[in-house]
Amino acid sequence: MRLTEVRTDPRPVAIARIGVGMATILNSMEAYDILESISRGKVAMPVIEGFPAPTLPWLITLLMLALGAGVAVTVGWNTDKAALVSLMLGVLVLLWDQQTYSSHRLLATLLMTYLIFAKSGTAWSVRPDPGRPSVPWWPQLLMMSQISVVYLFSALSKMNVIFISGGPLAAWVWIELPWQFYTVAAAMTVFVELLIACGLWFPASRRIAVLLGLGLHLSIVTLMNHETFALLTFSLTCISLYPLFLFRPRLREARLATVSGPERSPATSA
Amino acid sequence: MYSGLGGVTLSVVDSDGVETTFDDTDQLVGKFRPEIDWLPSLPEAVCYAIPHAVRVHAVQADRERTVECD
Repeated sequence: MRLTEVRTDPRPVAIARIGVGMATILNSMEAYDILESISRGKVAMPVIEGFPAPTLPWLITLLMLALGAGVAVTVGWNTDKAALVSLMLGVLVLLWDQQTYSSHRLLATLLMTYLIFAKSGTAWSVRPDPGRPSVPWWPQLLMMSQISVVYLFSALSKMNVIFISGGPLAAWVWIELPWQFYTVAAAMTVFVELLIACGLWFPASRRIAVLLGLGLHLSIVTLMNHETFALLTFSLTCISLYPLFLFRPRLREARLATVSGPERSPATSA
Repeated sequence: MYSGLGGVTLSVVDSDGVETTFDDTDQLVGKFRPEIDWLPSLPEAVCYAIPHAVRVHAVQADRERTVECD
């Protein structure tokens, strides 16, 4: 059986849809805030030379469309179309000015791309499909790979003397502790991110990886002394994907089901 | 989840020849992101924001730029 033929329970990706949709709403408000300040005269840094400068009427239109599409994705109303609109608006925001770039906005935009194909409105939506039919798994696999890469790159980028010294971490958090604590915390951060990136994939370690992920994101949101709004959005995006790992289909059983015949459902969860 | 060119250090020389550090960058930009190359645009913005500025010197990572204000 090809990976593109594997189908699975629609509920985990519905949770991902709700999380990414809510994150998109928050991202839209943050982007509006940045672009609105540029429209008032702050320094513009267009990605493409000659791109029209942001003006208030266009920004209000953009915000209304983005909020509408974000809400539609969150509640699962015309999900595929709403995800497509969200994607296009997300790309527009990223191209409008360099200052709107952030890793969490790019992540949410990429995840929205995969949601277009995920049939994520099948369950737990305002228009659920009767009988809760299975959905294609490959878009979920892309989402899982994406978030795993985020954790892996995050860990690799921190593997340097400056970060491991604990200096940057001490400057980023509001809590004041002895410097030794920050050194240990920095090393632990790298270890935990590596463990999450790999551990999410294996049945034996995925629950521990999820618990570590929840703890990591809780500490990020509560301890960092700046960018709380953006970090909350980022954490919401990441955590909403965890059910995809916890309830991913057993590929071996899916293969057996194909060999045995269609009466055995491939939509099994580990 | 962090990378980039790093922050920008800005110093301003006024008409009396006095050099001061400019720390209020957030008032000039939408989002002060370290991934952005600020040297081509930020010194001019500081010149505009501080009417008595004669010269602005900007340093980002290992690069620098000096602008004479009009």
